[in-house]
Amino acid sequence: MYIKPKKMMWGASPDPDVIDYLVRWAVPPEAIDYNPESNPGLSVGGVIQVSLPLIGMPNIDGQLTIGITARDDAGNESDPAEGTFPFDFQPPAPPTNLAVG
Amino acid sequence: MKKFLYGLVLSFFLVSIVLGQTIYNYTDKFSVSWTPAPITDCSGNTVQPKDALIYWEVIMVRGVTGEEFRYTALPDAVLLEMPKPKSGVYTIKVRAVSLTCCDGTSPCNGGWAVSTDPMYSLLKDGTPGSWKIRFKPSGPTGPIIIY
Repeated sequence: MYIKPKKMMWGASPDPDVIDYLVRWAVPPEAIDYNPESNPGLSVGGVIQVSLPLIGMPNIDGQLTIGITARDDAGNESDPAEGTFPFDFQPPAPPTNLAVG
Repeated sequence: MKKFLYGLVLSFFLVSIVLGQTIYNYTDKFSVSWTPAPITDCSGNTVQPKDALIYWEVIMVRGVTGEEFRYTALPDAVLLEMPKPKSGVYTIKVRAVSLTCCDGTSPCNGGWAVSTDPMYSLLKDGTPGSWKIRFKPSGPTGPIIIY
């Protein structure tokens, strides 16, 4: 089974005290929960490009809403950048009736 | 050199333009204002702040890290506009600074009026209350690109 990864990138926060970015997601029509206590998000470090799917993301064949926030050294989070995108992280079913003649 | 004595306690009234252990959120600059307590010289005569002080000292203390960002205002100022510092949650402190106290101490620092002490601070609605200011970090810029 092979799931072809995609890449996701965004523009860096201009604040110099930002230490990492947090990624959260939800399957529409559900909205992303940005409450850090109930949904702390996945820290991807200080990078602005990651490969998808991230750990914990659903192997979805459909729409996924992704939100990214910047976090500073004091633990404060920015407002999110958010978008909904089509993904196909589900490999096709294997062939059947494999036989030899 | 004229010496001045002024109370350790400044009547401090913060009336921010959009002010907030109420936390007020800001994205850019903000302003802090205050009301000086009566100031007397060493003879007990009332003097104006502009004649008594060398400056007002305003300090923003960043929570968690404890970093301090220091600003000064002219002696006759009762309001100071400040730019956004680093993101974070801040306590604001203001005090008066004169050149020399009556006992010869120099500089002569007044007591701090601290935004978390309702004895000196007011909420936006004008009632005494404790508050801090929060600056969120700037978020990611541009669109999210999937490829």
